[in-house]
Amino acid sequence: MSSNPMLKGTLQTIILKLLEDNSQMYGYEIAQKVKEITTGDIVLTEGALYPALHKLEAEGLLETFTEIVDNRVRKYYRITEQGGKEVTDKLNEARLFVNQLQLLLNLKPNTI
Amino acid sequence: MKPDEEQMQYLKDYLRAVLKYHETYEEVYDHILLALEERPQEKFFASTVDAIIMDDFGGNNGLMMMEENCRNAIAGEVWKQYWRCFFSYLKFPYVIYTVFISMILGYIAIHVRYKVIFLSEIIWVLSAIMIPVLLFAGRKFKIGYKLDGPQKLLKDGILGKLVSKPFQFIIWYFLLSVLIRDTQGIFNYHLIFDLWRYISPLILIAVFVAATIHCLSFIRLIKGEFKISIMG
Repeated sequence: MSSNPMLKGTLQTIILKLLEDNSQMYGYEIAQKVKEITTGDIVLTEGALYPALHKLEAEGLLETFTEIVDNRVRKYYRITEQGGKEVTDKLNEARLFVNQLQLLLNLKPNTI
Repeated sequence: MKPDEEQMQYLKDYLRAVLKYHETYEEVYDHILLALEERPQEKFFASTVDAIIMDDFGGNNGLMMMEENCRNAIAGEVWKQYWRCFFSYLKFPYVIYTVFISMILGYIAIHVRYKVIFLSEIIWVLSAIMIPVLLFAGRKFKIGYKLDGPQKLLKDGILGKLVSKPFQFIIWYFLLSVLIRDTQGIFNYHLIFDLWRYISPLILIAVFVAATIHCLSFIRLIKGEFKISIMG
């Protein structure tokens, strides 16, 4: 799924949030962006990233368009209206999960 | 590093040998070229490509598994969407069309016993099954002929399954017809109509309506496909 197994199940949320913030991105760019934001601590494996992107597209949460860059096709993803609503729900779910995990494991954010 | 024409051709040939589907081929090709830009010039281009595929996808097997996962993810979603469309014809507002079609077909099946009318109903069912097949072929022609690289698309498998299942039903129906006639030791061209006598009109109407809903659902499912424009 990613280099961190704890991220399993949050891949779609990460993708949707990134696309909400960046209007349009291609697969490689998404993987690089995650690496950049987390200073390399989290690496999305492409083996999980592309199937997740295709699934989100099939679900209608993402839409795609292509551009010719250096004589090759580049596929861009962008969030749909439906995807915009979904990202809010998924972020709320993630927030709740993190809060519960903090309570259960007695974690303090500043000590992580 | 920036690959030259020969190296890019090598990469295309390499990926065509490993990948089956056009969408994944294009994305992986672009991905590897982008990854190459961040790597220093090395003596052997092939080993640099291998290293990227190993790091990012877990090698050739990982690449193929990624492609299968893409196909499965899409197939599952298309399957769900098809049934969602199909069952929407049993709910408001689409149920109005279903009731209307059922009434027409029901009237014909119950009140009119002429073979000509039966024949027209059979043509209706065959058309309802054939239209999705033609749309599927049209989609392949519209999108497929423009493609550089693998010609298969990720949705081909599931859409093919959706158009072929009703055909299998028809084949079973014909086999059943033949079987019924064979037990009586007679075989003639009235074969198709004879089975109607053994089937309740309600089942007949259900089959006709299901074929019609299948056709309408498939049209709704696939209409977005014709808007796809793959450049290049």
